[in-house]
Amino acid sequence: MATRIFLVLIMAILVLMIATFSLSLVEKEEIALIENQEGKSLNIVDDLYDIEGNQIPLESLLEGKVLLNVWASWCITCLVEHPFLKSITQSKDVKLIGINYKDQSFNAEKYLLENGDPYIFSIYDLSGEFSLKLGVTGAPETFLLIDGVIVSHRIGEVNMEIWNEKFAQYF
Amino acid sequence: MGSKLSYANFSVLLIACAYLAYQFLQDNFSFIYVFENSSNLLPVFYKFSAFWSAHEGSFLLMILFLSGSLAVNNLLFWEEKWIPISNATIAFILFFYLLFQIFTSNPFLTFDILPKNGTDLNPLLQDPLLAIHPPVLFAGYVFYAVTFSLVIAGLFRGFDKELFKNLKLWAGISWFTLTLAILLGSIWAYYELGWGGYWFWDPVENIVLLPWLAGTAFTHSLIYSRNKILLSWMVFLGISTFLLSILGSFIVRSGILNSVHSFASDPSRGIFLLSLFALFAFASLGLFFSKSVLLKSNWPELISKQYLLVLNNIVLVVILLIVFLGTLYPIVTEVFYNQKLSIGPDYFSSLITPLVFVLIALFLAEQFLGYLKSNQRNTLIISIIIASVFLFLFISELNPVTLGLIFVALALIILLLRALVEFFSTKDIKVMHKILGHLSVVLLTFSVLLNHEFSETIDVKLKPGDEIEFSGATLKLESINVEGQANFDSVVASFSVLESNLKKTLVSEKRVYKIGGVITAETGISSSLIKDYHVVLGDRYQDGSWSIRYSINYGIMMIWISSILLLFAMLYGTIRRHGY
Repeated sequence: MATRIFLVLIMAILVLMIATFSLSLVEKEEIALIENQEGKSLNIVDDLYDIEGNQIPLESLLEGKVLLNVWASWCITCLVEHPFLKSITQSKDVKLIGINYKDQSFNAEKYLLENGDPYIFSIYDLSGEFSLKLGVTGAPETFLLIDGVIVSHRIGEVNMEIWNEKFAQYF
Repeated sequence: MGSKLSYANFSVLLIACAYLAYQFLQDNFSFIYVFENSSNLLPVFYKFSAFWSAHEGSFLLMILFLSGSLAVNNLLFWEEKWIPISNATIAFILFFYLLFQIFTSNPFLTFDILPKNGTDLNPLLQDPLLAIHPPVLFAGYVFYAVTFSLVIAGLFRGFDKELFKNLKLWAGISWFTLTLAILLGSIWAYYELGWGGYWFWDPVENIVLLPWLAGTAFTHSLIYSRNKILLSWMVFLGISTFLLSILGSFIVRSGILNSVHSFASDPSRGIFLLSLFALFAFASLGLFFSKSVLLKSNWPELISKQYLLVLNNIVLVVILLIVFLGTLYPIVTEVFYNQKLSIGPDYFSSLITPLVFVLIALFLAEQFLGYLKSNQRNTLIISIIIASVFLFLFISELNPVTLGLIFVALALIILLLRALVEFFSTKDIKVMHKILGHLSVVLLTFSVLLNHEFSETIDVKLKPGDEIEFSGATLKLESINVEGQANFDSVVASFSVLESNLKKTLVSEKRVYKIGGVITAETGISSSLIKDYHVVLGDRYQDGSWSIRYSINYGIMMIWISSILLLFAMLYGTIRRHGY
């Protein structure tokens, strides 16, 4: 008798546990959304420099339509989307500015030399602080700014499909 | 035939692992797994250890170990009558693990392109201790799968003397390995993470503690179960230990708990491991209950060694339940109330500390068992005296931690004296491993209390040349230099600590890794038996001064020493008991 009670108890606990874990797995996918930064405006406090160390005039970021792309030489998805970014700057009138994210400048320069440079210039962000304020969670990410306001934000790779869905309407 | 197949299985897995390791050493970044966890700047040693630095490789290594222990079992114990069932059980586990490996975490996937360089091994893992911690941990897990298979074999074929001998051997080995893994992780946390602690009650640590606690109870329950006393309890513990280790893999790999040890999470892995857990849980427990008629056990008599053993098991299982609830409760709140919750160290320490005292009291009671048994009236009187002394001390408003320290110190002295008396009167110590093991647990408890009670920390702002007086010692920031290494640049700060004319130098570093720009801190530590000086370099201020976290930690060295003694006792006990 005691064995049977123990059996029922243990099995009940097991079933409850497994049910809870299954629910937690389901729930997980809904919670795990990363915050999208659309609708926020760009607020730059510090001076910005490009990879060569030249200071960047802030107007270049705040005026008109600007496509900001977060990249790094160590980022494989950036390498994957690189050809698409090149093609889009050639075929459309897109002002593409890079953010070189947590990268060593010599690696970044080598990367652009080897794969081509579609960027007007790239903001050098070794510490990741500028990107952090922008709401970047990793590389690659792409932002479309219109007069300093984020109108579209893509976390992850940009390809033709994503472009048509998120960015094409503005160009 | 069966044994040959087990060797073949092991050889094939060994070749697979060697192949993957070769890709790491060759910097073949077209393998996604190599690309994600290595880089060409990495020292060769870490290129090799990067093999098991992430989920796929570590799981493969775990499978290799499981297959290895299967082969060893077949090599050494081929004649035993339990081997067919044990083999079948392990093969079953291997089969599902391999399915899991191939379909959800294949480390042999490749890119179409060949990347120039990898994204580097997580800098926190670039540490010799952490390079060996994971393999030891998996070995511990895997060996408990072997004890599980032996227990299952016993359910079918009956528990005879030979099976017990092998069970004790494997249980001892698993217990030793898992303890070593926990110790290594702890030492790593203290020296590398720079938080000044050795145990954080972090979910992933707790998850490892669960099978360890069950395994501790299991190993103890094995001592007397040859006499059929508490046999079914032993079997239940053997099964639970294994199930808890699978549960551990599920929780860590599915990422349902937030932790410092975040592995990349993938829902399909979670689903697979959870199904695996459910499968093994229902199958093994179903078997256990269907056979439990065979395992009729007698309740041991009051005040006997067996009785104390039952109490020990009960206390250990209660600790297990406390850790289990504290670790998994956040999952429950997240699922049902949609609230993120984390349970802090206070919950664990305040609930577990009294139970550890109970365990120590049991060690003590065991020493005087003969006396207690022969004279039951005196026993009553003694217990009343002890209880009233404790009540008095409790009322006297002494700090509870001080009270605990006094109690543990007394226990330590009594145990030590008993051992010495026994040694000098009989020139020998019976069951030396037990005495040593229990002594080291008491010493460990003492050191942990010491650490908890007396350690101090301050955050200061220092310029090179500045000094600060704290807790009787003077800390001086001597110099700050920048140095370059192959895979990182570092800021090296030299400190000196001056206490009663004794000068010690400490070096703390802040490293910026060249790939990914990750910043890590290397702690500066100067240790002695009683206390450690611990310095972590923080951020630089505009005026050239640095923020520095400076702590004085008590008893750390004693914690390591007592843990090593404990390990030694486990190893000795395992070997001795097996009669080698």
